[in-house]
Amino acid sequence: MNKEIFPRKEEQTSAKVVVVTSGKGGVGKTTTSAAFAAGLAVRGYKTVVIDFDVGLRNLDLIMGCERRVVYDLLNVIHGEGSLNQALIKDKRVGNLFILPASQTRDKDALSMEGVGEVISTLQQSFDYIICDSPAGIEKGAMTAMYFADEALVVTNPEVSSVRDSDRIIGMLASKTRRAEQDLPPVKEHLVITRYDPIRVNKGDMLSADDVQEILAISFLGVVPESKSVLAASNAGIPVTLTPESDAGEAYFDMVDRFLGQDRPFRFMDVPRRSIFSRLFGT
Amino acid sequence: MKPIDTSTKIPVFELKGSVLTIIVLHIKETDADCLYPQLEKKIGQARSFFKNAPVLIDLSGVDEEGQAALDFMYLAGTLRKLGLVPVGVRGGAACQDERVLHAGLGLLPAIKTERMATTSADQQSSESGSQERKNHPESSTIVTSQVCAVATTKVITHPVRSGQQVFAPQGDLVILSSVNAGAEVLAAGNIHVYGALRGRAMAGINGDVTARIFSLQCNAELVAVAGEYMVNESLSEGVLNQSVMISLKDGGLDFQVIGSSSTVHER
Repeated sequence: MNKEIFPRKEEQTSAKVVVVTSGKGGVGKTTTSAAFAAGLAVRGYKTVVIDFDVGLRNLDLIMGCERRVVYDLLNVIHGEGSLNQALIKDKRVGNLFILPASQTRDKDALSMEGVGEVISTLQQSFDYIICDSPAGIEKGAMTAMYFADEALVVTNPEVSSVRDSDRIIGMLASKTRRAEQDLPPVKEHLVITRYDPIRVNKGDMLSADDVQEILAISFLGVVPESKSVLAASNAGIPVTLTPESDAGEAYFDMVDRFLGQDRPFRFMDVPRRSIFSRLFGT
Repeated sequence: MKPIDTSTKIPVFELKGSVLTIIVLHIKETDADCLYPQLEKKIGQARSFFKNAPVLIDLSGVDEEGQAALDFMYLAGTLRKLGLVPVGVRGGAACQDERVLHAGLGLLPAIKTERMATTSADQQSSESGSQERKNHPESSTIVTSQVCAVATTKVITHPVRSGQQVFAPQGDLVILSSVNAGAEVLAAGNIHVYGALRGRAMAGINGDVTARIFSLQCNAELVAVAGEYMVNESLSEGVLNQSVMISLKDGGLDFQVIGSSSTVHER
């Protein structure tokens, strides 16, 4: 990218930076980033999703563009390739782009200034910038959240994930650009993934109410535990782009709520058994 | 009759340091014609209040020359006549030590940051107190105050999250939300949690045995008052997730369920 310093656009209504974060690993950050970005793009917003998991890059696999990666985020930061060279255009949805992470470097190579420049450049031509954070609370996660305007806090309904999310929410309120510059705080949204109402009723799993009570941030919705998530990941398709997927529908509900629409909460209760299964007792 | 074994190994006393509240007499002007009449007038007004009260003399507001002019024997005598019990001198210059000891008073080092309740409105800043005292010689030359009388309360309106620590080094701590697991709240005074307490709460960290912890829903990882602590595992079923008040009683933590008629004592 060229080395001009672009002026930061403060408080613009377009080009919102959204970090997808969790603290704990394996809860579905990358799946959520891919599904959410694809959902926003389907809704007509020009969206780019950036992989911050330097050294453990996965987003390109989930998005199904791993064979088209030439330049990555670190190449752009270090001026080894231009931003336009590094951005990969999704083949399925016209206004969806991916900025992959480097697999051969580590997270210390991420510089805050460099990332800031990349994000401010992207802000000029996109509506939404989704930052897929790595797990943990180290440099990669800190860099991913620093420029955020809003945050999707991805949590599994179990105690260790909730506690790690709690820690991350605390950091969103203190370690981000908005906190440091005394701007309005990062708006946090709670996304509960791998939710299984049957196990919640049995008491094996925390309920969405329990999680909301502990984390006390705005609730965006639940994603049901679904076979379609794994299938979509392995096929390299964001789950929102797979037809007839309950998880995909749940993500679309969340995208719409995120965009300010009113959508009834689904997938929170045990599905009713059909009259036949009741009669024949399966 | 058995002879008394003087080499007995059983200790019959304990020596312990303790933090306590004491009246401090901040002297700002040592001129006898000015000091003693004002002292008599002020303390005379509330003789019963000061009756037999131990008092500490603070000289940090007086320069060395002023301290040299002060007759410690006479000052101590005057205070005793007024019903007070002078116990020591704080903030005096080293060259005065001998005269202080000769007057039967103890020596205490000066402290730097102390909150004081002053009688004059133009002396609100405690940190710059000694500076101001020099700048305003026209104001009342005597200030009686109780150490810790004005302790600030810290109020937190947002949840205290895992990994965060909130500390009220002077006074009370009020949290209008929850303290989550992995969070830690500490206060020199009381701790109020108007939400669930799931993390650690330590009240009376400077040794204030009267400090208490209040919580609308107690499921703390650890609670402590003046160093006496209990972990979650040792909390009884009767207090878990209840609204409780935790205080120190007979050297152990006492849990009282509040907001209902039932009272549970837990030691």
